[in-house]
Amino acid sequence: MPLSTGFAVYLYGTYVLDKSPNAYCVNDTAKADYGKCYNIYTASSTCYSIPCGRAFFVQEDTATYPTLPCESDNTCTRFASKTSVRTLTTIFSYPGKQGILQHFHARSHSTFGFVYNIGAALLVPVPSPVPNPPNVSYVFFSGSINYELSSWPVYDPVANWKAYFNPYTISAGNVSIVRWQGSIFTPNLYLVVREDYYNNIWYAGATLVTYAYESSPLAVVPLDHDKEWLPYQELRNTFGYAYNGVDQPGWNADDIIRVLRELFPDRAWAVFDDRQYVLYLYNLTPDYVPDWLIEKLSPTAMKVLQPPADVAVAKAWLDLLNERNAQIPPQTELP
Amino acid sequence: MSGKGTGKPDASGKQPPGKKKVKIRKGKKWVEVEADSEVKKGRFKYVKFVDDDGLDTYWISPE
Repeated sequence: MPLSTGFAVYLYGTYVLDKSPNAYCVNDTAKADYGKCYNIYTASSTCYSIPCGRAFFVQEDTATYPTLPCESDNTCTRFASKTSVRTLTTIFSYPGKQGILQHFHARSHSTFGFVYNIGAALLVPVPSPVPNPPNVSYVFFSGSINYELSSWPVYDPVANWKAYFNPYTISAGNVSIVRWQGSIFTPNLYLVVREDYYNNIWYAGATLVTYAYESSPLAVVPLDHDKEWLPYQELRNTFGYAYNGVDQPGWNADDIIRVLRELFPDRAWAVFDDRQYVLYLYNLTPDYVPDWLIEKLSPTAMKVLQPPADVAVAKAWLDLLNERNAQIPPQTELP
Repeated sequence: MSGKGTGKPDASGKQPPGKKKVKIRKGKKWVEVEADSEVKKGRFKYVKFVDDDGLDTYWISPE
């Protein structure tokens, strides 16, 4: 099963390549501008369920503070309850499959910096929303990380190739920066922040995540890039693309079949469910499935969703598949 | 491309034999099905039958 690389960027009030970000909020209740956030980088789109470009403010006293100023001007997302570890979003979730976290860079501005020498209020991805700080620290904060805590000025070695050219300070709060490289296999990856049950705190951050994922089950629909640009593009938009057909991680075979029925009701195509090892055939019968594909996938079963209404359609699928296969260099025989 | 057991008379005009009971392995269970025919694909041999979902199914033969 092929692996593909995925990138994800999460921006909450600041962005990755900002050379001198100064996003901060005011959590001193004695101040006139309490609850206000400044220099927030706003983005118009949304990051899953949470709007991008907003800082976060935890204030559970809704009687005294029914609405914070940063809520009113859309510069923060307010949480009205305390928690230990807050899951901001799911980076990926592939039930029954694996993704591999390979790298992340996280920079956070927050009320507090590192606690117990690990990142509190730092937006980090974790294999699961583990509410136990040691688990978080053991996984990510041993060995190969770089971090720096608010000894002004702060340098971000990832955003700035020559970091010392672009030091920055923020007007309030601390800066935490973590870069991590390695590999962790997990079916689920979440973006979490550790709040340690603090109330009246704020944080903003930017996180860049790189990971690999199993790009299957597989839809076998060979399309000609030049002659069939529209369906090719449509398919790419829907699934993504792989050298040996078209694939989409995290989807089950039923979903792929449903979409292909809509996109290509008159074409021939096949879907390989690599969980059950079943090859589904549409407008095809096993007669049209080349032996080399059977050797490659080794399906336990083939199921005919619909026999070919027009044998020319099935033949066209087979010809195109053979043509493409001929272009793939033969693999070296294993000893 | 190989293909046998389409249910139609072959070149010699003989009708294929009737359904044959075959045991296949579905998940962890062995299930007996009434196979219509056999199809050879590459190194593998598949038996054809109509599965519970109503689809024409070709299951890898245990033999």
